[in-house]
Amino acid sequence: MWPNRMRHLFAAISAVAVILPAVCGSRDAAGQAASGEPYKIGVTYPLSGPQGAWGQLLVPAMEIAVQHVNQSGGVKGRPLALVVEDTKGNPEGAVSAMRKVVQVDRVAAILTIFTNVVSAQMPLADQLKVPLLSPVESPGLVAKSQWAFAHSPPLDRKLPLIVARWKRDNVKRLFAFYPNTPIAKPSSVAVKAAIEKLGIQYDEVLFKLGDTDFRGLITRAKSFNPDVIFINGHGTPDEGVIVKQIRELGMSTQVYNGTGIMTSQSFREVVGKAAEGMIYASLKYDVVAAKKLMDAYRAKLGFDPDFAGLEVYDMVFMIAQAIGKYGYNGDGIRRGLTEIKDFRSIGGGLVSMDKDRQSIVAIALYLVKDAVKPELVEITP
Amino acid sequence: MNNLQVLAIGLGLAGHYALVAVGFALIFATLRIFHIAHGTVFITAGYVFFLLHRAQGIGLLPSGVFAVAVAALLGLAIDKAVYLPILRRGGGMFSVFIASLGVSLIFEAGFLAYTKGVVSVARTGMLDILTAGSVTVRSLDLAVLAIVAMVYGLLYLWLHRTKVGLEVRGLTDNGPLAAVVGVNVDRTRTHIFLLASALAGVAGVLTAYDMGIGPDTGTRTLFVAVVAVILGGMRNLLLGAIIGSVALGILTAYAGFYFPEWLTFSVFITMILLILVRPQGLFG
Repeated sequence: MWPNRMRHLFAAISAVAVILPAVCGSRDAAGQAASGEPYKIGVTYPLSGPQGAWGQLLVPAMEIAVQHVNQSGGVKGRPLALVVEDTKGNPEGAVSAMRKVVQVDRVAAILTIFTNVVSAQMPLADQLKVPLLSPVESPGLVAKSQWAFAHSPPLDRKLPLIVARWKRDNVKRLFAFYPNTPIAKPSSVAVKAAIEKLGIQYDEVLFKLGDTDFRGLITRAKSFNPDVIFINGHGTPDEGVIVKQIRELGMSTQVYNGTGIMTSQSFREVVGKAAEGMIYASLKYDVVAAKKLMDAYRAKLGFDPDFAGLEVYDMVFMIAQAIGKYGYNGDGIRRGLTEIKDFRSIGGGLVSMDKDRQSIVAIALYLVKDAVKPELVEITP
Repeated sequence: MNNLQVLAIGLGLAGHYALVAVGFALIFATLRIFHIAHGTVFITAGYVFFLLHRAQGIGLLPSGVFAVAVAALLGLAIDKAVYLPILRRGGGMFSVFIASLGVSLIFEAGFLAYTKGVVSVARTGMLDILTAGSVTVRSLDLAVLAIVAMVYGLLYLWLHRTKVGLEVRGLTDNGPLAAVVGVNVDRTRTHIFLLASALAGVAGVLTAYDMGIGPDTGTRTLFVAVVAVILGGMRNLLLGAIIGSVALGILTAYAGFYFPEWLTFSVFITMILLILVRPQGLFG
């Protein structure tokens, strides 16, 4: 009898031993909170200074993403955690923040933002072998480092939509405003290249971030008598002040923007009704698809996230996916990000990384119909 | 017509500068204090106004009056709590200057931490505009110029028709002698700080309503006001401040139009050249 009973007992123990981890595994996937030492992601964002609003608005979207990842079991059962450092939006702050999160906090990947910041961080990323993932839109920027990735529609991919509309409206004179930051040069080059064959007369000025009176520059624009004005900056409140002062100097010229500026709460607060009629190009997204993020963000901050909020939410999931696939180390995460293909964005579309490590996303043109509510109408041709 | 438009913008800017400049000049000319924290008083009024009017929805006038009162009291408090104790302990004007700079930096850091550097604009609506030909003037610019004219008129009467005004002029000409002949320096000092700070408060409220303010707007504006005072000279307080402000406002607007990338360079090179030619300023 003993041998048989022993066999049954052994079989029962074996069955439990095999089934239990599988059950636990499936419960993790079904929503059991992650536990253990977290996988840390560095966040080097401006939290102060003229561009500080971006950090204040985007870090909460990343925190929500981390919360969602952790609530659904984390990565291989371990939670994600953010280590946030203020870059103040300048290159010195960028390098110092990056050194801190990598060399002190030992993060294996960094979420970052802005052309000037990423430009300053790329040599360090090459040296430390830590991938940078950002929503920068400067054409060709991330192609300069194997460790730099961008999830956003760069200006040179959005310009064809805008230029098609300029062509349709028979635009002959264009005046552009850029901030006095490294975003200006690539933006200017991209715009000039895009309008070259259309014979559009072009002039531009640089504005100083942090200034509040731009009327001298706007008078210069007025004297150029443009058919359209193009503003391409960082979506800061300064750009809102410019749009407002354009209207208050009696100019009714159509204003275009190359970023998803109107979705930014800090821009909307400053610009008010002056934004009505503005046209901008940005990541195309579906607010219904993004409901999970929208609801959580609204509960946290009291208003909807902007387009970049969706991008940074995606980025946390991209890094989580890369860690899950190749482990928590710079090289593995870099490999995982490079291989991103048909990634389901919170905004609804599918995202893939191109060979230059810039994501390929759907782009749309929006018209600001009501700036106060705000009501945006997609006018993509 | 562009030149007329730029001129109109320059005059509007001059109005903002003039209110800060005259307060700074009043304190510097009478008490010899290089009151860097005057910019702090200016920006504090702007933030108080923003918080009351924009964030709390309180009316324009009560918010503005309260913000100006806060500015006046803050200016006086800085003198009583910082400058006077230093002077009573035998500190010189350089110590006072450093303390003033410290106050300014402390407030600026506080505002930066609180606002995260985001520009605060106390209005959401558009301003009414008046158009004459191709020149557009905003209603607020006209209001600012009217306020400046009224303030300068009242200041003139105060300086020339009141006993305190006479004492202020006495301090401007010769402080130690004025004290010897019976000028109540402490009382006059209190009047000067209250009045100069209230004027900075008016400018802060107008700037917060008009263009918006950031944590360093106070320092930037003070810098401009100091240049205006240097340009105008301090022998004639009111005339120097207003002429300096108008000159600087117009210069800034034209430089912003013709050489936007060289704006700061243009303004300061002009100031240095003028000082080389007339060290005492235009009306020194």
